[in-house]
Amino acid sequence: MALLEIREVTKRFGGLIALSGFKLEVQQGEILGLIGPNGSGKTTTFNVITGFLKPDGGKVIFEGEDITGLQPYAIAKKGVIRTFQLANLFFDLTVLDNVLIGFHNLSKITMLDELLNTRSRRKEKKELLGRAMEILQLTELDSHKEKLAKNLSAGWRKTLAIAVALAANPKLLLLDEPVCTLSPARVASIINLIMKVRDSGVTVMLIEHNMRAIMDYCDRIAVLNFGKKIADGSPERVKRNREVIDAYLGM
Amino acid sequence: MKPLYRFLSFFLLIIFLILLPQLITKDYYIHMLVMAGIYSMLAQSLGLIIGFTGQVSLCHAAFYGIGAYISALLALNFGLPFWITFWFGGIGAGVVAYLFGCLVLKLKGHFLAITTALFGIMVTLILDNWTELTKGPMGLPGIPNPSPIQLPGVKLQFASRTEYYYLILVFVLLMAFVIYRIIHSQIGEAMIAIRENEEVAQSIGINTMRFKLAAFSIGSGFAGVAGSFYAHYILFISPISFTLPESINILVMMIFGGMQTFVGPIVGAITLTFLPEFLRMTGALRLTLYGLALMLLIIFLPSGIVGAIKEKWFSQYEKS
Ligand SMILES: Nc1ncnc2c1ncn2[C@@H]1O[C@H](COP(=O)(O)OP(=O)(O)OP(=O)(O)O)[C@@H](O)[C@H]1O
Ligand SMILES: [Mg+2]
Repeated sequence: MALLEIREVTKRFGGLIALSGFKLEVQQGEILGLIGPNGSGKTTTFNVITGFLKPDGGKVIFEGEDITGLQPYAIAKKGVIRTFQLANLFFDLTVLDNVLIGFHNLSKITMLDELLNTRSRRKEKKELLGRAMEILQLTELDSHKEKLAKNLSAGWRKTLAIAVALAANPKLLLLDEPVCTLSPARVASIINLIMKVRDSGVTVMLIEHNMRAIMDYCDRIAVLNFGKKIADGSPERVKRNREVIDAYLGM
Repeated sequence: MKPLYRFLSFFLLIIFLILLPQLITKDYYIHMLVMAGIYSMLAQSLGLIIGFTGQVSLCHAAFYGIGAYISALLALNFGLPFWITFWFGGIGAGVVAYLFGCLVLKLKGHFLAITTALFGIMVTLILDNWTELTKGPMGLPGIPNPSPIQLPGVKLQFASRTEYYYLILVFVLLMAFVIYRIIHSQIGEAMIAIRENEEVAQSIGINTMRFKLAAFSIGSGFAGVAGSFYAHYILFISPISFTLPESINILVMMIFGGMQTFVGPIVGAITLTFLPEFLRMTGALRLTLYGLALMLLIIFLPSGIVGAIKEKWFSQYEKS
């Protein structure tokens, strides 16, 4: 069984058809690249999967369960965590606080523990702080941890968005253009991070509109053009696909 | 060392607050202190809604009024004492806020502000026009004092303003404790996340509606308790005390002190309860000066007094 199944999803914005009959399966443990020219419906796909948009037709199935039309928070709770294309963050909070808030759903303490500031609450706080530090080290953000998110450069903001998503304990991680606008050194480091995340058992789906940037790192690639899937397969096969070449030359 | 220092200063503050009425000779100033206590409750509970959760509510005085009327009506019609009515006032205001919140907390920014302002106006209209129940603009006179209570060593009669002062002090401290624990908990963390970026909050699994509702009902519930206290202190209520200008007044206190801080709204409430009194010596210009002072402060210290102090402190700490 596929981890995620997108069944014939259609999404319209007025007269514009952003997705039409889009079908895709995401297998457990793979890195799947979703590529396509500007406006081809990639971000819309993420918005439909994560409940930020309701599809006009079709279904989204996660771990065999129909999650179409659930609230974004409910889908996130099931383990589908996304980042936003424009590195959306808690800008006025520190890097560390951004990650700590990411743990929101992991806590096991109750309201009563909170009100009475019990020992188990303090113990959990300490544990989460430790895990936050691990994530910051993994993402190389540890030297920035006291900075406010808004004072980070664009590249580090993207990295922080991934760190926050990792804190939320994803089974399926959806990254919207994680390496776009980054310096080559940072790109290498983010790709390295994504591989590590996958190796720890998280399935990754990532959007990129620059095909070459991610080609070599994806297990599989799906290509969207004007809301329709025009190719789906190994990077080598997709690279040679006539329709894909035309779509990209037509850009 | 630091927790000890904090504990000591807190301890000294409490001692000071307990001794304060002994230092004041004029009964009128004790009355001002009681009012400052009521406004502290109102401003800090509004701070939970606006300052920490980012949901602009312009109907705080309406919940203050709902608490006051529930309490007064229960006391006048069923002879219930304040010790029971204030629970109904608080919970009643909280429940109304919850139901109203379910309808409007989906709205954001200006839309939420306007809708809550309209709700406040609607509550005033109901209080004014449902004359069989509320006696309309005539108001409700003859609300009883809190019944005497026997504490170890002292009996509180609620015949003097000083006794009310101690009662509101306990109320403010209890509320402040609850709000402090909320904002330093995961619940507070989720509220701040919603204020900072609702979309990201949702994307990491925060049920934003639930926390917005929690902030709105808890904050409005405390306003209801403040209303009960007011009713059993002034012993007369009428709709005019709970109108939109009063909501704005509470809002200004909260902003003035620093809405994103814990103590800011209380500092704002105390300062702005007394400031008009101190400006009294300027005679006819008094309210103009008051308005001018507020405007200048909001322009130059947008994060409020306590907010500005914290920022200053923080930037020094960052440099070192
Ligand atoms: N909320 C919306 N309302 C109206 N139109 C929208 C909305 N979101 C997306 N669209 C339109 O749907 C189409 C697909 O947009 P989408 O954001 O999914 O593209 P994309 O593949 O992510 O492109 P890019 O590479 O530029 O990020 C575009 O034409 C876009 O203008
Ligand atoms: Mg996009």
